[in-house]
Amino acid sequence: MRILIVEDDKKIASFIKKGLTEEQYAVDVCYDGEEGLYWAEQSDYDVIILDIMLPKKNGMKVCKELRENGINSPIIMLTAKDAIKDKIKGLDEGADDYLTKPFAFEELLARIKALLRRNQQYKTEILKVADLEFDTLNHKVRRAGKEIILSGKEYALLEYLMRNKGKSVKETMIIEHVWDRNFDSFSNVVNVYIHHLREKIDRGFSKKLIHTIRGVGYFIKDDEGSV
Amino acid sequence: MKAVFKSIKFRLTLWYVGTLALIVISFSAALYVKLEKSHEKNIESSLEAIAQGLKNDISEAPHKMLQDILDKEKEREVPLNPVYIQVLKIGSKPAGEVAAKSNLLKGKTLPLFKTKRLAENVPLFKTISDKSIYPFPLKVIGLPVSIGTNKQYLIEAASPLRKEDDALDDLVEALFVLDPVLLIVALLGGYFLIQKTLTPVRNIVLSAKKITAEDLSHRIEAVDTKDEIGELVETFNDMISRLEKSFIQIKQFSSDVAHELKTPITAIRGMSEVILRKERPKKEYIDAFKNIVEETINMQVIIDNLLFLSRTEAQDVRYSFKTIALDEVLLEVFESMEILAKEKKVRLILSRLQQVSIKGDRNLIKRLFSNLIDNAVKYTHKGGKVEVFLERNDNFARFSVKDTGIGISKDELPYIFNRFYKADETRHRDGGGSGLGLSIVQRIAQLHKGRIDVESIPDKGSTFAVFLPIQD
Ligand SMILES: Nc1ncnc2c1ncn2[C@@H]1O[C@H](COP(=O)(O)OP(=O)(O)OP(=O)(O)O)[C@@H](O)[C@H]1O
Ligand SMILES: [Mg+2]
Repeated sequence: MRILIVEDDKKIASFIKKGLTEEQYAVDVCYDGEEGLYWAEQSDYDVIILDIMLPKKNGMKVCKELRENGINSPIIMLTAKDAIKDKIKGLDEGADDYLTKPFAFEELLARIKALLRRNQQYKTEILKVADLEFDTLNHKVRRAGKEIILSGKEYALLEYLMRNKGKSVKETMIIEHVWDRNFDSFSNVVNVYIHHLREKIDRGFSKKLIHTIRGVGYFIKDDEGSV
Repeated sequence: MKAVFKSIKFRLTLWYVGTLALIVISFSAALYVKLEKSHEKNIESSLEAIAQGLKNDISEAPHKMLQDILDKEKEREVPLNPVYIQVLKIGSKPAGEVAAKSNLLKGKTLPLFKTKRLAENVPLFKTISDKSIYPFPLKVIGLPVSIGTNKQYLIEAASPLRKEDDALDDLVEALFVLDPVLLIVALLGGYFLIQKTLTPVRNIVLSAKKITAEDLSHRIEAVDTKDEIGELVETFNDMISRLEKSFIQIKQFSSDVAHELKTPITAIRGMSEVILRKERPKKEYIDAFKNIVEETINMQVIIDNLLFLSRTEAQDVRYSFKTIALDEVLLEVFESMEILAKEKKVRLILSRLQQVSIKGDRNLIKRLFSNLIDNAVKYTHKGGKVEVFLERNDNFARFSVKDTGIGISKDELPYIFNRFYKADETRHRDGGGSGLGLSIVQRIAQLHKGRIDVESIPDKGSTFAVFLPIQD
C-alpha cells in the first residue's frame, strides 16, 4: 500500500515515514502544498496524510483541489489546531479523517488501516484466498495453518494482490502501490518478487494461487476458473 | 422591583417632581402671605380713614351729639366688611366710659387701648379676637381726640381681617386643587420626556447585551442624531471595534503559540513512539536522542523568546541603561557570527565600524545585532555576501546589515515583524526559526527609543537598518 505524506516539518515527516515503512507501506514525502498536489495527482496513493499549515498552498486548498480533480485517495488531515471549526472545514473539503497534533503513532496507524479497509470494502482484518490467510493486524501469513515468513516487500506485494483477489493487476499498478517513487521502473524487480512469493506460498502445494497473464500482469485466486 | 427604584428614569422623575413641588408650594405660600399682608394693610388704612374722618367731624362740631356723628359714619363703612366703631371718654374719671357706639356693636364693647401709649394724632393698631362680636379676628384702630382742653376721647374702629367666603380662602382652595394637578401633569410630562430620552439608552443596553467575548461582530445600532447619545453610541462602537481587533490578535497569537509548540512536541512524541516499537541497533537510539534534544532546545528557545516579548510588553522589567560602546559590542557579536557564516559559505564583512556609544542594555543590543546578522546569513545562498555597518550620525547610531540573499516579497514585507511570521519561501528550510527573531529586534529597538527600516528586493537581497538615538 502506498502512502503520501505532505508535511513541512522534516522531523515529523521523517518519523511518520520511518514508522510506516517499517509497517511495510511504501511511503513518499513532500514538504509543501504544491509539491504534494503534484505528487498526489501523479500516482494513485492508497492514503494521503496531509498537514494543514503548509507553505505555498495550505492543506485545505490541496484537499479541495484534489477532490475537484477527481482524486479519491483517502485523506487524513493533520492539524495543530483543535478548533472544531477547522476539523469540520477539513471534512467539508473532502478529507476522510483528521488527527490533532501531537498524536500517538499507533493512532495514525489504526486510522490508516481503517481507511484502507473502508476504501476497499474489506470488513475483516484477515484476508483469505483458499487456505491462504493473511492477517493484516499482526502481519502473519499462513497457508494450511502453517506460518510463512515473508520479507517486507514480499509482504506488501502479497497484501496488494490479496486485496485485489480475483482481479488481474498490471505490473505498473503493483509498482504504484507497493513501491515508492524512488523505484526504477526499468528493473524487473516485480518479476523477482513474484518469483520469491511463489517459492514461499505455492511451493509444495498442488493448488497454485498466484497466476501470471503474460504481458498483462498477475492475479491471485482460489480456483482454476477464469479471471 | 428594586431595580425600578434604582433606575435613572425613576430617580430623575422623583428629583424633578420633588423640586417642582417645593417650588410650587413655596410660591403658593409666598403668594398667600403676601396677599394676606396687603389685605391687612388695606383694612388698616380704611380703618384709619374712618377714624380720622370721625376725629375731624368731632373736632369741627364739638357740641354735636357724638352718637349722631357716629350714626352718620355708616356711610363710610369699608365696602363689604362690617365696621365696629365706639368712642370712649378718656382723661377723665371714670376712664373708658363709652360715649357712643355704632349699632353693630349692640351691647358689646371693643377692648380699651392702654391709655399710656396713646398720643394725639398717632393711631394705634391691634388685632383682637372676640367671638361674641365676630367669628374671625378683628383689626382695631385707636385714635385719641382732644376737644377743648379737658375733654378727651378715644375713637376705636374695628373690622374683621377675614370673613366667610373670603378671597383668601378662595385662593387657598384654588391652590389646594391646582398644585396637585400641576404636579401630576408635570410628573406625567416629565416621565414621558425622560422615557423618550432614555429609549436610545435602553436600545444601547439591549444591543450591548448581544456583544460577548465570543461574538464581537455586533455593533450598537447607530441613532441618527448627533447628540450626546449619538456620540455615546459612536464611542461604544469604536471601543468594540478595538476590542474585537485585540481579541482576534490574542486568538491568533495563542493559536500560533499552540502551533509552534505542538510541532516540536509532535516530533518528540512520534519519534520516540516509532523508536520504541521494536528493538533497534544502538545508532538508531543515538540519532533519536539527538533529535529529541534538538527539538527540546527549539522549544526552550521559543518559550524564552515569548517570555521576553510578553515581559517587555507588560513593562514589568526595568532595564538600567548604561553607556555602552556599540562598536565593541558589535565586534564581539561579529566574531561569534563568523563561524556560522563560514559554515554556510557566506562572506561576512564588517564594512564600517565607527566609534559610537549609546545608553542601553548590553545584552539586548547583542541580541539585536546577532538576530539581524543571523537572518542575513541564514537567508543568503552559499557564496553570497553579508555586509555589516555601524555609523555615527548627529543624533543617532545607525546599524545596518546588507545581504545578497533571497529577499522578501512586497506582499510579505509588512508582516515580517509579526510574531511567528515566516515568509513562505523560508518556511520549510532546515534550521528555519520560529519567526520571533524580528519581533524581538523590533522590541529591543523600541526599548531604546530607536526604530528599524527594511528594504528588500526578492532574489536580490535585503537591508535592515536600526537607528538608535544617542542620548547624553
Ligand atoms: N535578511 C533576510 N532576508 C530574507 N528574508 C528575511 C530576512 N530576515 C528575515 N526574513 C524573513 O522574515 C521572517 C521573519 O524573520 P524572523 O527573524 O522573525 O524569524 P526567523 O528567522 O524565521 O526565526 P527566528 O529568528 O525566530 O529563529 C523570516 O522567516 C524570513 O522569511
Ligand atoms: Mg531570525
